[in-house]
Amino acid sequence: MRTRSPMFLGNLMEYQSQNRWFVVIMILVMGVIMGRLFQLQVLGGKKYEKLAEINQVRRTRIPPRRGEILDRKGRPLALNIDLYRAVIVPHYVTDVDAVLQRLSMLLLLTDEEVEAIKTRYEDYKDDKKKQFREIVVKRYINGASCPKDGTPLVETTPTPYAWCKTCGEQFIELPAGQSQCPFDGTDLKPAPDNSGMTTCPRCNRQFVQGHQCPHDHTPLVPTEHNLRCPRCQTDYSDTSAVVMAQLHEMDGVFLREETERAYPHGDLFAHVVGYVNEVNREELTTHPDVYRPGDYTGRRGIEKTMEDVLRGKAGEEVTFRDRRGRSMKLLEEEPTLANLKYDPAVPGNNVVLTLDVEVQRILQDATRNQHSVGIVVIDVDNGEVLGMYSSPSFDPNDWAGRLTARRKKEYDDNPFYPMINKAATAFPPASTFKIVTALAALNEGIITVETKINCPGHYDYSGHRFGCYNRYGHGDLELERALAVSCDVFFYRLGEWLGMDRLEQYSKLLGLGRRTGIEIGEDAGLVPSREWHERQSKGGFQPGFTLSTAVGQKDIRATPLQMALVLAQMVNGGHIIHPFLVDSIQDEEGHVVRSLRKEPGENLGFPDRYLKIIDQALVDVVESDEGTAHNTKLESIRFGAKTGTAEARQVKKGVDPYVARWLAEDHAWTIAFAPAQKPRIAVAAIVEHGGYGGSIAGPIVSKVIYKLFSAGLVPNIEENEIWSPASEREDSTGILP
Amino acid sequence: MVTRIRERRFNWNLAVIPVIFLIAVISLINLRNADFYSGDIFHQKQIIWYLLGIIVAIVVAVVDLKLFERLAWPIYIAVAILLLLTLLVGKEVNNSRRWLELGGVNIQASELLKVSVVLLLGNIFKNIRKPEYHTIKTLWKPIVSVLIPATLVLLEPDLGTTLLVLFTSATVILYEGVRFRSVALLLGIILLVVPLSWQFGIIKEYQKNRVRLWLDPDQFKWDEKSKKLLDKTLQPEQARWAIGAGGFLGKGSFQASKTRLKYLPEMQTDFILATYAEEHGFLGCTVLGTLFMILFLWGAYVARTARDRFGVLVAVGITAYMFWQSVMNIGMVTGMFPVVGITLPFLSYGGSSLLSVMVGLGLLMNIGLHRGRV
Repeated sequence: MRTRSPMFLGNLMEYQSQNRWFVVIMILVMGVIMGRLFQLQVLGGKKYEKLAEINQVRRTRIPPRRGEILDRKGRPLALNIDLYRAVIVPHYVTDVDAVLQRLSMLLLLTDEEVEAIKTRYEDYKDDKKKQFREIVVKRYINGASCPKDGTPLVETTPTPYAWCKTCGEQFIELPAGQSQCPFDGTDLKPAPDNSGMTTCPRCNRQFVQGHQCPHDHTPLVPTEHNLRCPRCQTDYSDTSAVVMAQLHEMDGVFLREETERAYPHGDLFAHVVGYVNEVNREELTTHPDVYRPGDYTGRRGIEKTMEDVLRGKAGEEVTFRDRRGRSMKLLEEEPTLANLKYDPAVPGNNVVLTLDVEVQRILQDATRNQHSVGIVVIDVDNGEVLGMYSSPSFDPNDWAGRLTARRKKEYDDNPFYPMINKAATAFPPASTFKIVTALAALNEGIITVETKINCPGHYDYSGHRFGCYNRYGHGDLELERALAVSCDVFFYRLGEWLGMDRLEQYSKLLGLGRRTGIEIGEDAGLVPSREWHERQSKGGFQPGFTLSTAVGQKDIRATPLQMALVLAQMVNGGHIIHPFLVDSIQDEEGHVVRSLRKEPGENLGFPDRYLKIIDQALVDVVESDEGTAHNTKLESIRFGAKTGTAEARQVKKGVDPYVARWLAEDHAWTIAFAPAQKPRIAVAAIVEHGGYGGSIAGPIVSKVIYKLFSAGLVPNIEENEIWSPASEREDSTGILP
Repeated sequence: MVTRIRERRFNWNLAVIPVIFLIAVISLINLRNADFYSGDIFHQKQIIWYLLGIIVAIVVAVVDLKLFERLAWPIYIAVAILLLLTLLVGKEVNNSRRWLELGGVNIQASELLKVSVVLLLGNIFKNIRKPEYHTIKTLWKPIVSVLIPATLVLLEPDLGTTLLVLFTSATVILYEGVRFRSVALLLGIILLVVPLSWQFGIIKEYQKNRVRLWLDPDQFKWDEKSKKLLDKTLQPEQARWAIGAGGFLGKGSFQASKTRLKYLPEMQTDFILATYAEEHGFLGCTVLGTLFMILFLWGAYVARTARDRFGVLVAVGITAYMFWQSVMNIGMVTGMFPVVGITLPFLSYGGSSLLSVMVGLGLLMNIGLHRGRV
């Protein structure tokens, strides 16, 4: 190409070398460019091919794992279950009918459900934004744990079930004439609606004869369940695993993980542990960096008060999605991507309570024959709450997001108020309060051990006649006997001499009239004072109020927890304790992050002998034939108690006659401590509208005491203090060596 | 006495026409494919621009070159005024003013500048005596003439075109021959000016970000405020992945990743190469590169064989402009150069860009056919 025109102008020769340079530089630069393309396309081909699959890089929030709530022995009371939720995202669905057909068989969807999903799909699929929304196909698909209580599922031989596509119910087909449950042999009960269906009252499975659904006669579709919860005996399938295996054949279907909160012990710890449910709009706006829609937060009990500890912190992870919306795992990530900031989620910490499952069971069992009971057991030396139970109770699993309208109505309609924690609700303490009056009187020097007062069965004061429960009177009594028989007149006199102000003072000193500081909701109770009466009572304060208060009736209010606290402080040598439910916060491995135990406080300063007098009097309540709780005496262990019967007769309009009869009764109290010689625990129980304290609450308390000690559930008991069963002792009156 | 020498000369000027034609065809097919992913109909519009462009090019090619020489200054001043107007009353799009609406037509003055500056440089240099090496004394006039409109462009802000104009002008000036000392001095000035303009806001933040992103690609993935991954920062990466995914043979027409390309910003303009590269692979890129190279070499040939200084310099200038623009674009798309809004000649969709290049081709053809004889 080196041609030259003959008409060559000389001075243009000067550009020759520049031209050469120009060409050379252009060639070199182009070479670099091609080299770069070579590097990207030929050398990096495979890697970029993979990376090029990445359609979307998303930062997704990793919700934190909520901490568990454990009892003192580490058993879980509230835990997390991993469940799955099947969803479809319209944008990625290629064949909606095929996908829904498959899903309906895998997930047992009714025709109605499938229709609803299809309609929503049609609605969303053409909208630019909505086509990326997830449409829920089915929730609560189980993983490896039972969705009801978190127990790990076990594999069983596949159980054949039959399923109705119309109503969604599942049945097991039985041969004609079979009347016993094939799983546990229980007699089957026929369904009340004459449909030909039978159920097993024990395992709750439903049976049919023939291949039709008893409700709508749709032919049943066979299916199988091969997993079972060993605890609640419900059958499940490994649905999630099967669906996961088939995801790649179903474009647009995704399995999202969900975590549900479960309470394996059901109603045993309900009032203490509480429950969680979804955050509401208000919480979302006040805590935008903490909560996202769909998060759970504690609503009641420990779940609520320890929310900050249990919740943990959300993290973020980078996920890569391909063009079908599926998450990709990149084997060799381009360094630029690998450096994307990533925050691991911080799981919540576990909360360890002072309660014990076995203690709760004992409490539940002891109170099962009563309609409404609140009972609490505390350690007298350090204030640990060993047990707290309120009956009737509720199942927090119901409230943690799966509450049906029917269930809610059941709770609302229950006249015995299952949602209220009776152990922390204030009632008039009745005669149990007399220990306070007694101690006050001794300490103020108003009476001595020997002071005798006469009880004729009533006492006239300030224009009113105040009756003793024993109309005929107790005759002359001194303090010990007065406590043992719970003479009202004796204490009316003490009250009269002490005066309202001192009664108020001692009550408050011992912890009444204010919250104990326990880590869940509680009543503060009420200690009436002159000033309070001036404000609240018609006609202001009247001297008669002092007498009522002295025997724990009328306006004074205390919770079983408070009474247990008062008693504990009187038997532990007179030092203040602060009841607590939470022992410590631990991490996942069980290392203690922080102890939340509360230390006992200072000594109240009561002379030992006064306390001993009262302690002994309370032992008499049980051991003396006249004692109001002598029917509860145990062979094997000595304990002291005080009974009480709070005037609580109530008349409510329009209630069931059964409930009306119940409401007419007084509240029955018993508080107790054991063992007598070196008190370890204090128990307080109130049976709402139960009747007489000694006869109704007493046996509950004594049974509890017996069971706690015989099961070895009382902590810190030393060898030589352990009671021995009556059979091992020569002396059957229960006097310990 | 005229001796008729029948020279057997290969007329490269005519030989390059099929090459240009081939490039045009490739660009249209590519745009059609790109439209397939994005659902637009740019390729149809581009055909119209091509037709227009061909007409313009032919006109430019046959008109007397002297006309251009004489019009260099007026054109230059007109363009400068237009640039000023653009800055003042131009349409604001994406935080920058690049377009001026005049009588229903959108004019991008910066595109006009690319050719205008070349013409001007040709004019200036033609009229001064060429010393052995130029010094600042002789160069101040061309340099200032370039810097003034370049600054106006920079203020739009349009960093890419500014750089392109500067590179082109530098090439022409260097082609003239400059003493090493002067080059060093110039570089020194640049080294001083760049950090200063970085610091004092002549270079806009988003432009700075682009450079930062190029230097450290990890930096901007996460936007704290909106708590979202910024797709914008992934744009050059996505483009690179698309190119890389092409492999050696490419995926084939219509077989590239639709979802990725569809959401690639500037897919038919700045990043048009991504589509081509993914579809046709390294082989396709080599073919295209070769075609472009032939074009550039032709330009150099025209420069070499031009008879007149004006012709030489304009040829160099036009070739340099096309060359640098292509290099900047491909460099940007492949990650070797920070993202600056520069389109790829011929392949990118865009009327003004195409017309500008067509004018350039017309000039080259003009110079080539007449040997630049003015």
